[in-house]
Amino acid sequence: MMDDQKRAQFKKVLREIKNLPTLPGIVAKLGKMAENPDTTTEQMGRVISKDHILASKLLKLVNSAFYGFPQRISSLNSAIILLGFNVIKSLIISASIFEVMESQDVELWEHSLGCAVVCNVLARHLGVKDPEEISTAGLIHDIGKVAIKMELPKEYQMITELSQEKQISRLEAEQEILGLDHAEVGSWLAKSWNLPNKLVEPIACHHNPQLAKEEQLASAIVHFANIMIRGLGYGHAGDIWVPPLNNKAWKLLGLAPADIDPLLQEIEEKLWDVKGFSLDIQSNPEGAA
Amino acid sequence: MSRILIAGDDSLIVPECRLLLDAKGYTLKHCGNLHDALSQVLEDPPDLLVTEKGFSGKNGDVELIRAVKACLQKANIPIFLVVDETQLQVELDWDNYPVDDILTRPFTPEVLLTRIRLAESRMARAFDNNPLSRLPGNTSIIRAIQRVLGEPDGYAVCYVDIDNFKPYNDRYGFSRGDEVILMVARVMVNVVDELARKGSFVGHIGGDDFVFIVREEMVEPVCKKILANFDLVRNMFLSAEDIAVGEFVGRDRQDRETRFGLLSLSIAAVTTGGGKYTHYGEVSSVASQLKHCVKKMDGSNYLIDRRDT
Amino acid sequence: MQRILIAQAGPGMVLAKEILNPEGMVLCGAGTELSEALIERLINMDVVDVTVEGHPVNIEGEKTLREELQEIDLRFQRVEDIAPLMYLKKRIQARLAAARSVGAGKE
Repeated sequence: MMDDQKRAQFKKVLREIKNLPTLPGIVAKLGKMAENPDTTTEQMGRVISKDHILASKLLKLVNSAFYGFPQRISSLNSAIILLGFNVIKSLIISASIFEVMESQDVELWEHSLGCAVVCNVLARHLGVKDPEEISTAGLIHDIGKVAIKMELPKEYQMITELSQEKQISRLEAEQEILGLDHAEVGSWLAKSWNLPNKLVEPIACHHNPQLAKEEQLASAIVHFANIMIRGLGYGHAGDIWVPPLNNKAWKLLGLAPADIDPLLQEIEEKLWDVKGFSLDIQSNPEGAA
Repeated sequence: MSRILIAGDDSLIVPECRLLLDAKGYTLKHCGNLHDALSQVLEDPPDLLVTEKGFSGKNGDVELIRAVKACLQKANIPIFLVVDETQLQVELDWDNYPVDDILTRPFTPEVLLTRIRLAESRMARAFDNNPLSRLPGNTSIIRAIQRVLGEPDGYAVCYVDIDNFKPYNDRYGFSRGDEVILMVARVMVNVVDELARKGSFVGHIGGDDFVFIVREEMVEPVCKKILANFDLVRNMFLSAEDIAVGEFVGRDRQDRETRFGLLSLSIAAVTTGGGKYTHYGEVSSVASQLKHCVKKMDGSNYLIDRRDT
Repeated sequence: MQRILIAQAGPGMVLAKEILNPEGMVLCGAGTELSEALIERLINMDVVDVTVEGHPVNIEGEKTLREELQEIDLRFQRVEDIAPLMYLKKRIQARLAAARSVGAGKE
């Protein structure tokens, strides 16, 4: 059938992605840090862990065959320790940036970073062993959207139009136009980069956490974090609607109404940090060339 | 050596050269700009790099060469720099261009092939790198220790090994054990690189035994940071159950069932200042006494021997 | 009263709330008038945001409380049958209204 053929072709194009671009402001900031001899690897790491594209690149690198840890490293801190300053510096020099930056790129970045913050707050609240890993999963959960935008610009435009015209979610529009969606695309990418299942499953299942086989709790946290950050309206993920909550995931989280206010309080507080960082990197994007 | 990265203009390697290298079983990868070349070096490093003076605009050649040579695990990738003869009239600052060989344009395919073959045989003679970690092996380690013994400045020769490595191997399998060895190698190299680059050395004796050498005044911060980083990364290499229990059950050398602590590191550091040792054998015998003590301690630890005689 | 990022603060603005460091110590009391030098010092101390009197910063496209509440309604429009999310919406709206009305009441 034509549709299957098309789907296979989209798959091929998306799998061959080399370099996803990111915000010039972040790359400029990191470039400046790398020039300063007093900058520590940890300081660079803190900035990289605020960017969904650079964070995925770092994880891809540390889990690649050359470095020798395939499917093992799910934490950004560990990735930074294992790669070291010089490799991180080269990674920044080789990072590509958006040639034409659109507000939707910034907004998706804000949504991703916001989701990571909510994941962290939820994971700590639930007493999860390694909250940082879950934040990382939250940070890169929408990486498939960036891939679709970069590799299939025409279809991306069609998805946007269809979603507006029919008033359907971006996810539904993606399925209609491509026969696949950003969660699936993101999970292929994560898999092809040898990322551990701890990250692959939450990306794959962030809209359908009931499908997670091994990482049910992590998937449920990213699922609900995505809902919360959309509910709070920080950043923008392609459509305005809060996506539906999966009942099984909700039960797994075991949150009570009394938990909601303290969680919101903590998230709102932490979002001020994110807003400050966002303003900082957007006020100075010209430095990147 | 079979994979060659060509970083330069399309005309850098003429079709005749390509054909010959192809026929001899080399795989060529071409990158036309610094971005692509750096990504390639980062993600899938070649066995040899050929680049040209003035690659990818201002300083592109230097950036690329530095990215290879600044990474201890890639520093042994040979680099050829292609130049025009006129460019040699102004002498290059070779400290700024740490390349292994130069080629002047034009060159025949045979000359290129010969240079590559020579670089390969030079590598085989000069390096005793550990095949797993790609760190220098015993001959280089002995040479490095002898070198610092002859210097007026104080250095610390640090012997590192992984506690409970054998039972870990038995429990998780050899390939997981290899991952842990690689992990320790990278943690050490990166800390030494960041905190104490000048005059330092990192080598791999074999198995789970390593040596690093730093200036004496840096030994404490370097040891502390290595142990802290190791403890941060370690859990990625352990199962959730073992982490929860905090130990695992295995069999000791006498095949008795024993409880083992989770992975940790021991470092025995011997300082060399004041010409107290003349031979590397003296250093390693002091280190083995010290190691005996540090291995008895729980978890990750280091001990520094500062004896005067 | 308006909560703003330190990057948006300017000399002459007056603190409506004290600034605390992460340990809970008061760095700067309520009623303090900000100067260039003070703002610089606060930035160096990693202070992210401050609450100032009045409404000195006009953020482009800033919405009224009513508009924001409506937007929240719209965002949650597709999940009206999911009780936990309706509760989440109610709390987000209530918190927003409370944060805004404290300011309005004082002005």
